[in-house]
Amino acid sequence: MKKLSLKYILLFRSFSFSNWFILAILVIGVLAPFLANDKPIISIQNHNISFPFFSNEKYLENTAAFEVWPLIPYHSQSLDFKNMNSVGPFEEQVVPSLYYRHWLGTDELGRDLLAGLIHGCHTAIWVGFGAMAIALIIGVFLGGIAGYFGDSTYRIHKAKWISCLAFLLLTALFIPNLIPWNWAEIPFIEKATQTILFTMLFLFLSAVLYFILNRFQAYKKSISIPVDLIISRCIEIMETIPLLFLIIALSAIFSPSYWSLIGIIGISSWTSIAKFMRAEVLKIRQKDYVESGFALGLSNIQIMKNHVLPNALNPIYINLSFGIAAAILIEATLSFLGLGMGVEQVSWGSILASSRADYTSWWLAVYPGVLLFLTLYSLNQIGDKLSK
Amino acid sequence: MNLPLLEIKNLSISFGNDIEEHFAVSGISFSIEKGETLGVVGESGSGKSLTSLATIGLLPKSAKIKSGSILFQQGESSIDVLKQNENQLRKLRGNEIAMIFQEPMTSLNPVITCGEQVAEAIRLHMGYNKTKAKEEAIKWFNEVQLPRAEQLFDAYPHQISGGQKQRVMIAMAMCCEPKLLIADEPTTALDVTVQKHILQLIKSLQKKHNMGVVFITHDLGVVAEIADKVIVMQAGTIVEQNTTRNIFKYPAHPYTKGLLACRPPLDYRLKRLPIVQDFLTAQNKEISTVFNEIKISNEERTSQLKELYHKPKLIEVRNLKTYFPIQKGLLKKTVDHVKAVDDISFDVYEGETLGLVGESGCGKTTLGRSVLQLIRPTSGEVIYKNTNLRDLTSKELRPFRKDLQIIFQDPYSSLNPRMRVGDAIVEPMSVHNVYGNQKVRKEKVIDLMETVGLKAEQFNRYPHEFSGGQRQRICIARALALSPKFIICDESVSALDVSVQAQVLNLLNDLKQQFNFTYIFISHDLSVVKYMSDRIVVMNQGKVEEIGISEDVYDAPQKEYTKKLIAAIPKGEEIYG
Repeated sequence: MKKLSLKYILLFRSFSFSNWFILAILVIGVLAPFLANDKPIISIQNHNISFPFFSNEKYLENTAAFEVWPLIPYHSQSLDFKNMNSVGPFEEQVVPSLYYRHWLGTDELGRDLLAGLIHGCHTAIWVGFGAMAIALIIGVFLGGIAGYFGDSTYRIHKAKWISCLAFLLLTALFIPNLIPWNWAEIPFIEKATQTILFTMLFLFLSAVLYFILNRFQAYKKSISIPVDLIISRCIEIMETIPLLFLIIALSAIFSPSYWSLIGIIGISSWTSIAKFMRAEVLKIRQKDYVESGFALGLSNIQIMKNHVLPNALNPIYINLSFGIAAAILIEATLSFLGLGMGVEQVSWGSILASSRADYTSWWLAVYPGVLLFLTLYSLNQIGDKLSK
Repeated sequence: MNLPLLEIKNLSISFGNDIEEHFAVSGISFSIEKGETLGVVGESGSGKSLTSLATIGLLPKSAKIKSGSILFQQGESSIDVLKQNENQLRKLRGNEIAMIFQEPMTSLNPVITCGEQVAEAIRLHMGYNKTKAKEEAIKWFNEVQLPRAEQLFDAYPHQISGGQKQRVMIAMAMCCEPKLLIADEPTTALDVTVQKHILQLIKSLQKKHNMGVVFITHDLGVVAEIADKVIVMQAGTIVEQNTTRNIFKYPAHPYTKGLLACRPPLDYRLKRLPIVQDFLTAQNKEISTVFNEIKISNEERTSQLKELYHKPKLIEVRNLKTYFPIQKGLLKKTVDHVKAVDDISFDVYEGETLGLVGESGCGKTTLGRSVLQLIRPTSGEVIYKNTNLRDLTSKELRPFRKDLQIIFQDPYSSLNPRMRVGDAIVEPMSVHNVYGNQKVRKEKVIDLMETVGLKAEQFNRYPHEFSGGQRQRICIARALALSPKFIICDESVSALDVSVQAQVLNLLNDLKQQFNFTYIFISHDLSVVKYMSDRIVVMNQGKVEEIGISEDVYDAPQKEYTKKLIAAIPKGEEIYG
């Protein structure tokens, strides 16, 4: 058996084009603000060292100072008024020196395309990894317990089961009612405290219910809960909803921002991970080492943590790289449709969208398109390689 | 000129690259005539399977042939199999040389009917049309003595038993009437009773069609039943080559002697089993002298048993029933039950080894698990320390788990591949919070590992770095971690080679002496059970056929079923002396 572990993936044991490419995208994405910015990183003037890069104030150009500038002296949002209305990469540009040249051209507002692509890497990485992290947590948890407990092994006291149901029902019914019409205007802290307070209240109510019910002999009986059945049906329901429409609907309700987009993509793409996880855990559960765990008196949690999880995660890693590619693609699609994250956040999809308005500027379509294609291709390549 | 059917000359096969080379087969030569059966015997890793794969040109890509030739007789001359290209090899396979593999469960395609798979081979090699191929396939099904050949033609592999699958495999190999049949451990995965029938079948087919047969096995006892000539392989070389009769009567090489001696003997009781190393270290020792040194006399045995059955009972099993529901229809209505364990009662005395024997599917594994409550029994009582274990919830059972342990059959799947072996043994200790802290536990584990014959520096290794026998030692150490009082060995040595089996059995007996355990020893192999146990329970279809002192059960079986089991044990030694 080939040893497959997170270490193996991170170290890229066999480096090829796709591995190098993804590594480059990762490095560029993480370092994006340092690579392309309209503020110098360090500025030294009259023995005063300042870091304009880290301050929020607008940087006033000072020719007298000694400055260290980023590789590309433009931010994705900085407007170059001298090179407006889409100047191409090979056309004549009005720039003071070669350093200030727009190597990949500009868009309609005079924003540098290269800076846009670099900051787009940043967005793509955050969306890809962030969304997959959420999907991973949900998928591994739900898929894991579905495969582990199956339909007949999870037994719970009737009283506990009823009070849990009551708690879920209360929360599901009352939380939407709590949202006032001016929900968006209330500060976050207040929102959070409100939600926590009401959840605590419901928890308390259901606990009281449990203690009352537990006094009756009839409710002390334990019943088995078909965990697998419930979760599998949930997965199927999630999968029947067309993903893109769900996201479009959700992003219409929540104001599209960085975090909400990550959350939405994450919540809507956990099903494939959960399915993989369930299948894998079902297989591992038949292994003798799980049974020997029971024979040694390990609890369910110990068996899950020590024996099932480490062995089940392999195929999940493979799924992850396809998942990241899909998340990046969804983000690009949404941005292309104008449903992405606000104007202040640049992404490859939003650059592609801007090329729609101006179809003579080929560079606005070709460069982000090629970048998107290569990224998705490389991620899929890595996934294929891992699954072998 | 009379050419042999197959002649292998100075064959060497190696693995690895230029820097590090490992010879799996080094310079072996042998030949086989038409109508002859050659037994190839050796432990796993001795290169016997590789040799057979080379013969039909199916070596794995990583293996390199370093020297030698494999000459196969065709007409008046011979061809060298190693020099054939892929197309020529394909013609050779099936038509001239056929092979039967060890695992009948996986060598049949589960989505195609058995008959179709045989018919396909016939169509491919003989060029018959569909109806003719079906007729031919049914003819071969009859030839391999499959019952109801017409119905079985349309059966899927999962619908028939392991023995029947192996018969289908034999039919598939035989259908083109090859000149040479290679059987690679064809009976290892089967019960003794089924094994006997398969051996008889291969023998009769070989006589009828005058084939050459290469029969590969790790068990010398099996070879005695079938082979005319035997070669004994060890670490890629042939250590002894002789007729079967001479091998059994006058074994020359100490390794052969070891292999012959390490099978548990049936007619007398030994203190411990001789192992191969005994013979390798002491040159020219005869088997009989070794046996005489460690024989237990009848008087000793009687007093042992007397003492044993005066001790208190450790576990009482009363009317234990474990049924599995058969569910049918959309609403999963229970229509019937599989009665895996059906009303079984017995006692286990302290310090006793109780043997549990029966064919696969008789419910012996389910019984073992039901006693430990790993499968919850449907009804009945398992009384340990005045508590009925069946009444306890899984949480309440946890403290009892310390005392009651199990060692599984398959050493490959009973260890978590991602856990270091040391940690695997520490785990139960920390779960039950014994021996105070982690440092003391680690010392204790190293002690244990040394007790079962492992080294302290192997603490941080992963299971895949160990051989089957070593893994079973790890499993034993893990079961011992909580110093239990009672251990169930569920076919614990069935997956091991005979020579390794002897070592593990000795270890189990030594540990019993040292720690005063009580065992339930489950196996389908009556000879192993008889050697290990004080009393034997013979099980058949979920019920007890017979319980008794092991010598009594073997010498004077009361039931037909027990007699059948005893008759099926390969008795190489008895045939030849």
